[in-house]
Amino acid sequence: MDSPQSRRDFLAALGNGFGSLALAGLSMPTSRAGRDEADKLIQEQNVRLPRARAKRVVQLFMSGAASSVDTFDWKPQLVARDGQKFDPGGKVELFQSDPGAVMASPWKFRPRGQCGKHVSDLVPCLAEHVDKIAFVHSMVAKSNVHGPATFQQATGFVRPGFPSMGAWVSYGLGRLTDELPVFVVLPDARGFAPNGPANWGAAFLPAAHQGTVIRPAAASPIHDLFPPKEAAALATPANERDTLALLDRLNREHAAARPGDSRLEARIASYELAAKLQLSAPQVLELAGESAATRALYGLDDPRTADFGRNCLVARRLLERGTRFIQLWSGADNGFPRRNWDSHEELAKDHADMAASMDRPAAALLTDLEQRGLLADTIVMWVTEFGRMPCSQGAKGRDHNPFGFTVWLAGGGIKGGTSYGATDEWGWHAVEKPTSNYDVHATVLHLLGIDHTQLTFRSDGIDRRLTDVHGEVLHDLVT
Amino acid sequence: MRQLMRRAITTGATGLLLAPGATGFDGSDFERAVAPLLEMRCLSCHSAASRKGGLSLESRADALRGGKSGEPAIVAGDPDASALLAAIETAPAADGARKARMPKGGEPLADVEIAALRDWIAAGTPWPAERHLVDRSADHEFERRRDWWSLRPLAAVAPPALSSLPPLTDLQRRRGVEPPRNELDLFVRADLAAAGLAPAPRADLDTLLRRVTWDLVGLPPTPEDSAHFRYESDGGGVNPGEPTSERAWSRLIDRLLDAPEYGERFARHWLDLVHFGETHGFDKDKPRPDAWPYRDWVIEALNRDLPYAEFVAQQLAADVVAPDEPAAVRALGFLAAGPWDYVGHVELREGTVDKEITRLLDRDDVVANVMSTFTATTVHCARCHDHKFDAIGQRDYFGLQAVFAGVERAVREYDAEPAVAQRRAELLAELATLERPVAGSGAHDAAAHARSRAALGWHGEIAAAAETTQWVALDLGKAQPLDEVALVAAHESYGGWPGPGFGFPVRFVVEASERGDFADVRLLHDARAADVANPGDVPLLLDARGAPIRAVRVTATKLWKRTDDFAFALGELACFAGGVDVAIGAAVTASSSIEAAPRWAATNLTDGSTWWGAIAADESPSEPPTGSASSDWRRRVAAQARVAAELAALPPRQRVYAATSRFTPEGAFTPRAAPRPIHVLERGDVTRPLAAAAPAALRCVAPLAADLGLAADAPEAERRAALARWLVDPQNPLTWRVIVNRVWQWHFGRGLVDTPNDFGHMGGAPSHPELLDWLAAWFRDRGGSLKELHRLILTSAMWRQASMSSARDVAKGRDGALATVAALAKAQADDGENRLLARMGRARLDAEQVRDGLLAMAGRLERTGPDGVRGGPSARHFAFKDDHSPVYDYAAYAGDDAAARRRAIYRFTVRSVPDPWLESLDCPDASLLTPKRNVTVTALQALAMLNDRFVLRQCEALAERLEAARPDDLAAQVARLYELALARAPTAAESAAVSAHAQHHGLAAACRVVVNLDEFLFID
Repeated sequence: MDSPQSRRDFLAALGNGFGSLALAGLSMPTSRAGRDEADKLIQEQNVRLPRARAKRVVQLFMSGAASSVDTFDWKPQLVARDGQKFDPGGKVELFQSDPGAVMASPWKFRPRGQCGKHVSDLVPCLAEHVDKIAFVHSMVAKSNVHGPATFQQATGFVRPGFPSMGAWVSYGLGRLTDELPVFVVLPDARGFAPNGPANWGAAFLPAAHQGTVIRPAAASPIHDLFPPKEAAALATPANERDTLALLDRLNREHAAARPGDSRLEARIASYELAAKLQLSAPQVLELAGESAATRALYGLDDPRTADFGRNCLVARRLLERGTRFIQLWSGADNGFPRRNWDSHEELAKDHADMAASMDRPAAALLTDLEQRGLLADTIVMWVTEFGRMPCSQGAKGRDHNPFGFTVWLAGGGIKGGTSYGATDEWGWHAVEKPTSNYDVHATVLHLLGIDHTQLTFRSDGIDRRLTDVHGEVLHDLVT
Repeated sequence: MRQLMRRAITTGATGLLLAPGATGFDGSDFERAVAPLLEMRCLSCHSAASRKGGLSLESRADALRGGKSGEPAIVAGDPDASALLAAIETAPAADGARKARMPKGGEPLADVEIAALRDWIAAGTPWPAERHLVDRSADHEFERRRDWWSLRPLAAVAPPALSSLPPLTDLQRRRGVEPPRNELDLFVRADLAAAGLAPAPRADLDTLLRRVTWDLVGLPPTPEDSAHFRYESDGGGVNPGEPTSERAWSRLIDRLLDAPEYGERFARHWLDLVHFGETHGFDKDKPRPDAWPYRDWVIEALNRDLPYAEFVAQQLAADVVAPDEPAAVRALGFLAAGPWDYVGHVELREGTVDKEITRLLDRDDVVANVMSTFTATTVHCARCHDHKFDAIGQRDYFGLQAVFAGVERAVREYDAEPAVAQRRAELLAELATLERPVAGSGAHDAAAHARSRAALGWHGEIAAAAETTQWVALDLGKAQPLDEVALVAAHESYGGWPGPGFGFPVRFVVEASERGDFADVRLLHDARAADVANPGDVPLLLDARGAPIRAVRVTATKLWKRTDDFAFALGELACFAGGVDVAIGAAVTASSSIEAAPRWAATNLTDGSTWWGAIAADESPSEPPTGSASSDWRRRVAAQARVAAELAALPPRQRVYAATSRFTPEGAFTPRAAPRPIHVLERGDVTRPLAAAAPAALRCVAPLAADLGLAADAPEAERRAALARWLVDPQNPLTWRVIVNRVWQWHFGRGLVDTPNDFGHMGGAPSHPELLDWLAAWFRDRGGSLKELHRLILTSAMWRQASMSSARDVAKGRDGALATVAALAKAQADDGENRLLARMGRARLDAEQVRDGLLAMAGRLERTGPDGVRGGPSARHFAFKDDHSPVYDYAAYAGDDAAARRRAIYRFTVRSVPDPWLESLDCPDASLLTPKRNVTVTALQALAMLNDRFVLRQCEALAERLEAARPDDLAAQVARLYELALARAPTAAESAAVSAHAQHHGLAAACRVVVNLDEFLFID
């Protein structure tokens, strides 16, 4: 029974970020006083930095732990010592197994692009984009277990109960359009990654900031967007029109007798927004208008790449239309047969399968965003929960390695052709500029024009941040 | 006076060290009045080590020497010449505040403190030469932080006198403003009057009925409820002019509080608070099928109005505080309510850093749950460093971790019936004496180790399927009359096996043969028809009635389940004749045998060595060696069989997922005999342990002892019980303030303190501090009855105020309606957040209320489960597939069955995959402590209310119900729709509009409109 008058309630009621109303000049039907409140709040919060370099983010999440020493972190030592005892000095503590012999990557590394960055043949299409990419090779994770480590990359904390990065961005920046969700999640067609929807939850932030799941290939791509088939009688155009009109009229009469309660107004507006979403979402998902060249670029016609490719193409269409944050998953859970990057048993086969589905579409997304001028203010992040060991597990697989792994960034404000930090000669421990998700998150927020130390929300006695009490902007990655 | 009192409560006075004006110092005065001041306020900069400005105040010699300036800090006997005094003496600054040069950057010393130092210098600075002071600035900081409203004892306050309030004007009375009804009104009205605000009129009866029904039972009032209440309020029609009848209102509240739905409604609030979920969370979000008994315990406890102190104590230590109530252990589900890292506990290898982190974070979740819930302290902020704002150190935090260092979260078995529990305890005790060498002895681990080397018995080969036939037989060489045949299961606890009953078949038959070839088979025991319970360590004794027997054969037809496959094993097969085991050394044949001596071998079956024999030999050599043909062996076996039979006849034990120190091992998750040692951790890093932490509570809650009177190695259960006693101590100011604030919030939408889980420095200040203290003491002193507390609040005039003028007030032209609007407008302008309660707040229904309400309106709410009881296993509203990461699919669940129509409190709460429809209505993440739900408005929420299959189905059912009740009378159908959904009759215009919609699109479409109305989702 909150009073409707507090500013926080007001914004919560509208389901928007701090700045959204004033920044985007939205058509949300609200009062002048409301806008003033929002402006004041932005100033008070002092969240925004003077210069934002990007407006949108795509987080490509490699679920199950993609190996850095088989993709972007070139370690000739592994070839030189292939098959020898893995003896890097110090205790080797693994998740599942006892350390096996040093295992060379099954894929050859070659220099690529202008910068000459060595990238493996596992990801030949992404390899062509190295001059756009800033690699962070010295990532360290707090946990050696998928669930907590996935949370760490997704929410900044190893435990459940914290808002996803996309939810924070939605909370901090609000919407660019009122026709589509601010934060969209495109799960792997084979299922959810470890932790499931908690990876894109709003936790203690208002629910409006949680990720909206879209399954482009499903019969009902967005939950409850339309009535189910068995209730078709309720979904005739005439019924829908009359329902919304009557609802609007009765709700307005009710609100008029209860002046000053912004929640009532916001609910009336929410039905208008819902109607807009019903119109715009099917348009986004309708790929028929895409050219044959574009379809080929994303690999829609190849069964190996079709699912991830469709998600990447839908991502581009969402970004074009104003969705701000997209979390796009490569890989489902850690079960059998392998359906994510968790290649304990047979790396050469399982990583090859995963890379074959991800590489071309992800590269296509970079190409396509660039040719449409969107990459200049869109950040593409490629992340995973941790890396994999340079030694073998059971002769052909690799166990978890949280001590040193690679993620990369490209797009708005990112200095391409950069490599930041380094692991040891094995690709095992980060030894040069060890860094973490906090620094990467701080950097992305920085590019979005947000001071990560100021974007806070009080929960359970603590002003929570995406970056907890950590995080340094990695200026070396920024142009 | 009231203002003064408030100041005393909210700000307090700094702790005085000395009465003002004291003189005549001696050495003991120095220790009492001066040394603490210097140590806490000066030494952090002026110790021998730090010497800021060259000055140390550690010793008298240092002080007399002075600092860089060259002048002595202190001149004995001459305060005015002492630089120290000049530095600390205050002068009023431009803004009127007291300012002093020292302590630099800190609060100036209090006047009495400065006076004490002056007196001491004047008295010649008594200070023993050998006495060196130490820096205790941290103590000062601790004391400063501890001086905080929520930590002070409950103030003894009296409500303002009625006569001190401005009397109601005639206009106010005519408008329906009520006079104060109880003490709560006196407090609130006094503050309103002081702010120049007037209370709102009482809401109309329809609004009140709707408000109180949703509030107390979480369901809408029925049209019959409305008619009943209106009738009684009107005095049965005798007194139609009387606006309300206090008696009718009290009866209504009593009826609602007595309804079982009351506990269901308030349990929802409680389960939010304690982040109760029925899956583990994290990756591999496994279900917890035995979590629900805690939910049922909460509902039952609320319904029977368990005194709050017991309600708290049982959730921490029911096993200790309620020993005569065995079903109370369900309350321990509280400690296990939160998420649990399955992979970290079960799969991660012992001895790794990640394992320790897993345990640290697991205990953190328990500690945060306990302390946030009961004391609204944010102790979890002190894991990596001392709390940044509150008087909570890392040592306090780890002291609390030590309280819970002996429990894990796992299934705990219990007997619901006290008599059964008692009988079981007696039988187990008896069994223990019979198994004396084993039972609970301190040498258990050694014994287990001995067993690992012992001859266990015979073991057939591993089978892929349960329904595999295997047999084992012995041959005595010649037939002889046998009294009894005994089957003793193998006992294998090495390598993670459960121990008792290892390999004992699920279905089997025991046969004898006089000739030895079984052509003349004699049936001794047939257990092939149905699965039999595993006998564990208890021998199965079969009566052979003196028949001549040469061979005995045991044939298993359904094998014992190992992890993923099946086996048959047997420890000993004994044949008694005249009390002597004549089978020792008999030849053994079998369908197969795993020969892995010494542990497994066919000859072990008749070696006379049983598991307890091995232990007896190991532990006390004087015990008669096993397998000897002693009559003692025989006597014991017979007694054990009798006890076992009676145990088996007892009703099966219930299971609850709860805190426990004893549980079935799973993978790397194994029980431990003693609590784990806990250390303070530098920066919260498990690889950097500092001092050991003994179990303790918070030091900042004077006057209670933080050490709980526990030894560092106190047994596990004592630790929890001691913390429980600390929590419910009448002198604990937090516990009582916190709960009355929560109840206030549950009724008003906002607490008197609007940060219900944070009563620390970063939390909110109480809007009505005296009222909070009065109410906390009232509640505590009247036995902690939550129902009494509800009654007090709901019978106040304040709770019955209108939320705002409603359309109907204006439409009816009720006298003074416009004046009401004007008064409310002023209240809104002056007190926008309504902290002073000049009106009622407007609540939005929560997700569960909407779900339950739709079902109730459609007449389809299932009040009980399939077995006719209200509680029980949770209703699963999803398709479930157990997998590496279990799959919970709500879309694939087409359910409209009875389970789908239970109240939402009984639904199975999945952590990783929330019910999308409930989530759209702000049903919180069960991984989060949720003292207060968010209320948001989103487009997806609108879509969920318009299009979700569940909503539409209830709309259709509701329409059918309306049509069936009043066929062919659309106006009546619409009227009843309004009564059901909004607890009022529609206006003529509303009736016309909704009827027209129904005519065009069907009554279900009209129902869909009404359940989407703001008026349905909000409560005035």
